[in-house]
Amino acid sequence: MILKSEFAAVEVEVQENGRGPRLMIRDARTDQTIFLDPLELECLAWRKHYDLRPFLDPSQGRWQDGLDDDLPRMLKGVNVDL
Amino acid sequence: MVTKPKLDLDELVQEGRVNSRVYNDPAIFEMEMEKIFHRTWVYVGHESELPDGGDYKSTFIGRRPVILSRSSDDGQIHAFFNRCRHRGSTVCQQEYGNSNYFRCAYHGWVYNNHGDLVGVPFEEGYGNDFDKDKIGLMRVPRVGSYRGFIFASVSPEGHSLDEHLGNAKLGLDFITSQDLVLGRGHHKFFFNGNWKLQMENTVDGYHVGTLHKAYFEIVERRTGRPVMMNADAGRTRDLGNGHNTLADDPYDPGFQVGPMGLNFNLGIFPNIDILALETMLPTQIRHIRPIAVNRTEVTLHPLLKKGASPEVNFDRLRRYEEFYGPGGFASPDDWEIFSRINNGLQADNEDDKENHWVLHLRGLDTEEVDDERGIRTNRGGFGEASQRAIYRHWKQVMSE
Repeated sequence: MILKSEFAAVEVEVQENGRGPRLMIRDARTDQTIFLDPLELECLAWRKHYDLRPFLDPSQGRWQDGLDDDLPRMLKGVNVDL
Repeated sequence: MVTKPKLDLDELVQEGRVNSRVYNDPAIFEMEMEKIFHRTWVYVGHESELPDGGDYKSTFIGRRPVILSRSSDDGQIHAFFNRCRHRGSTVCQQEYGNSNYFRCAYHGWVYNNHGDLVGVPFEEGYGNDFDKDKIGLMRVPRVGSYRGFIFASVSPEGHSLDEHLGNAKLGLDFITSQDLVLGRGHHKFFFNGNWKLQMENTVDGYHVGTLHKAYFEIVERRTGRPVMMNADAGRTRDLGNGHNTLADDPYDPGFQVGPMGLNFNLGIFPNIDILALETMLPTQIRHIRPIAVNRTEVTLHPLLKKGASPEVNFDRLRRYEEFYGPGGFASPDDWEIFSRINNGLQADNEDDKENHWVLHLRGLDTEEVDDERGIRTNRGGFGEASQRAIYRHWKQVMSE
């Protein structure tokens, strides 16, 4: 299933082929993927949206200084030095 | 440097007539933005447009782009200017959406839907003095709602929403007593003419039998009964503050809602009309947005009956579409006339002071004045008390 807004597009799928079920979330633009287990999802259900701020802060993960983030990776093929 | 013209308001607006410049002078339009849309209370949306947490709507207050959002955590509605604090791009592009966080497409700055700046890519480059708390989305200074209708003011000071709505509140009380709710859909159209033409038209009973004659001929053929226009039926009113009504409104003592529902139109200055003609057509909200002196956007929101069966609401929508909207039998007539007015007023010569007037004289000599309530009434739905209401208030706010 694809969930899309004007800000993001993700593919979501329940995977049952391992030792236990997991929710797969794949960023449709970069293929970055995470698998969330029921305990992680339960804890998410108990949080407020406000609590998710650190995950939404790009400099705390995806676009953090010094990290080989997805932006240069995407541009490697076209030889752009950021 | 552009110098602002000094307006002689007494030359522009007189009792029962309005100078054509009021409709087609770009300098006057600029002053309207400043003195009306960027100062007083302006309708921005209805609470039922944002039913779920995370819902948001992009709209405008005059020229200023704004976002209305509903928090998933506390259910409150917030209003911000739709402008990234970094380089100024609009943050939300879609008219409606659902997102608890907004990410500017330009450099990826992220805000939550309470307006806080949550983070920016590669933040270290901004140094230690970078204070995200000070650069959240800018809040619209004043936001208020009455019976689900949300209004906002760009000015931090001025009349309260309660004072601004004044006599219009009684009309809203009756309309909201009818268990109506906005559907998810809406029509949007643009016309080549001034925004006030739509405000005038919604409360104009005089044009219905002439301009929309083709529709009533169809009704006559379908029903086998003649449709008679009765100049004595209903009322038109100046409710004060630019607000107005047409038809059988609740401002008569002892008014009661009939078995078929309400039967009146309510205009709330400067940019919303509510057509509650349940005896004939389903209720709708018209949200007016001025774009330029001769360009206007109007969004039509049909209202559904809360808790009614899908068949009942399906029928309401079909009847709404028959009369209103781009494919209806009546709305395109109005837009064509607005465009013709825009063209016709080009004939006026500013030096010809006797002949450049648009007339709202009908019923001026028979207006009943209720000073205690601040209401002026024309008996009969063809009087132009409701148009005079707009310009009496327009003149006052443009002079402030």
